Amino acid sequence: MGSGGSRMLDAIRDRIIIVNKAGKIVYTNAAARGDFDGGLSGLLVHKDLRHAAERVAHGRDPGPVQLKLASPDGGGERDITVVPAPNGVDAAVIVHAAGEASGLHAEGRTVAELMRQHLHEPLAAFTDELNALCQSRGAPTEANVEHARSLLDRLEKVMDMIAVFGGDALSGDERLLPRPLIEQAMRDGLSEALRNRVSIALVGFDTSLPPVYGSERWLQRALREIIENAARHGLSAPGSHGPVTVEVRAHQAGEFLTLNFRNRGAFRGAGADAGQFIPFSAAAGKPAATRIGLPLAQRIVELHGGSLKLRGDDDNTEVVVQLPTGAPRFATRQLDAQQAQRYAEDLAKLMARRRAGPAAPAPH
Amino acid sequence: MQKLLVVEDQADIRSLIRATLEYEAYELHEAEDGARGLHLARALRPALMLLDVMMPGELDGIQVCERLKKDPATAGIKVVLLTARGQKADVQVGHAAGCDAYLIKPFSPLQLIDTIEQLLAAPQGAAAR
Repeated sequence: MGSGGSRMLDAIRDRIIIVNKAGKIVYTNAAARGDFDGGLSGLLVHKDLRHAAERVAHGRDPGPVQLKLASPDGGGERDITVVPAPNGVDAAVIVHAAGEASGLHAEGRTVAELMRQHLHEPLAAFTDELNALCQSRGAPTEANVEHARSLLDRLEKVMDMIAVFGGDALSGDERLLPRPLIEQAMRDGLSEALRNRVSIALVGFDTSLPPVYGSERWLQRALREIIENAARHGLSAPGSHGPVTVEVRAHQAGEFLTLNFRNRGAFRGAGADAGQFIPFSAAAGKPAATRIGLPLAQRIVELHGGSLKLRGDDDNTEVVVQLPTGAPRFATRQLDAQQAQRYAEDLAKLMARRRAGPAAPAPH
Repeated sequence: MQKLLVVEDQADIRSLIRATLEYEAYELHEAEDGARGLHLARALRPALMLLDVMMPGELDGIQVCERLKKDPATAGIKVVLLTARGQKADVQVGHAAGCDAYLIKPFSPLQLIDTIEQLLAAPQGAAAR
């Protein structure tokens, strides 16, 4: 194989092994060479794989042959494709890279983990209390009732989250222009603002702001929560006089888009900050059906590689959201594997074209 | 020898493109983010750019394309956007930014070579389809 073709295959994360008609390995790419101790050698002696490679190498099967085999190192099932090799006389065994699952899936698990963390312990404690009550045949105490109320509040939060995120896979590659994103969040938060006689104003907005990448629905929901939080606390803020306005500003700071939600005294005072980010802390009054709370808004922002912070004093409090501009660094891992696979599939055609010399471009 | 500039944050993809084009008669330059790509495009004036859309940092591919096409000094550079975003609305955003062609990942190396050859053979202002 020429140096160009070899380098191309070395750039591919899938393990590529070329086997000749006699079953002898005649080439391995860098990923395969690095994985022989990781279970690849055990996989290659699997009879189904050997038979598939033999059929393809001898031309009895044009391929591709798709296999799913258990990795002998206990690393789960591996997807394998057997195709004719670029030289046209051998078989290429492609063991698709394991662990290439999208980082976004991992983040989905993070949300599930968040829910588990904040429900498992209190539910277990409450169950213990109920068991103790049953055994003692005593009457529920005020503490038991308070505990039950707290649990119900947490459960309501989970139901709110399901209402917000239900059925949606986390999609992280939407290209979002800041202005429409914020304006939609402001429109969504308007009814809560009107109910509290609070206005919302977009001020000092730079129209040349760069896009951010992520889930439009999730980010809009997080921004809406911040606006609604300001609106809910607008009238109750100490020292607030007359109409209250939530000011939203946006500017670029290096590789971050910074959004400031500011309302003099409208957010909770500095003394309440400590409790503001305790997940699922009870808000005053009955929560709206889709209220997700600042903790989850913060989590959504963090899942997009950003941060959400409260800063200020009793009279001047603001929420500062920072989101990375441009695409997230993790979003294309899975795609890279697909791109590499596509290259591997077309490598033989590319080699054939090079051997044949320059040709007229194919019409599109 | 015509200059080509590849702007792509993923080293693996840059490597695949380099390997694909190494036997073609092009002088290949590379940048790993939009800001560096824009700088190199202005400095080198390549005949064609392969420009990834989704890149981390201050500028994504769409912004780089918009800036190049608005500047008379660089408007003539042929721009091929490389992207995983193949929905109709996304393609429209790319064309609105002024790109000359749009390759959706995963793309074939043959398709890549054909698109480049077609664009470089076309008269100024003509776009590949």
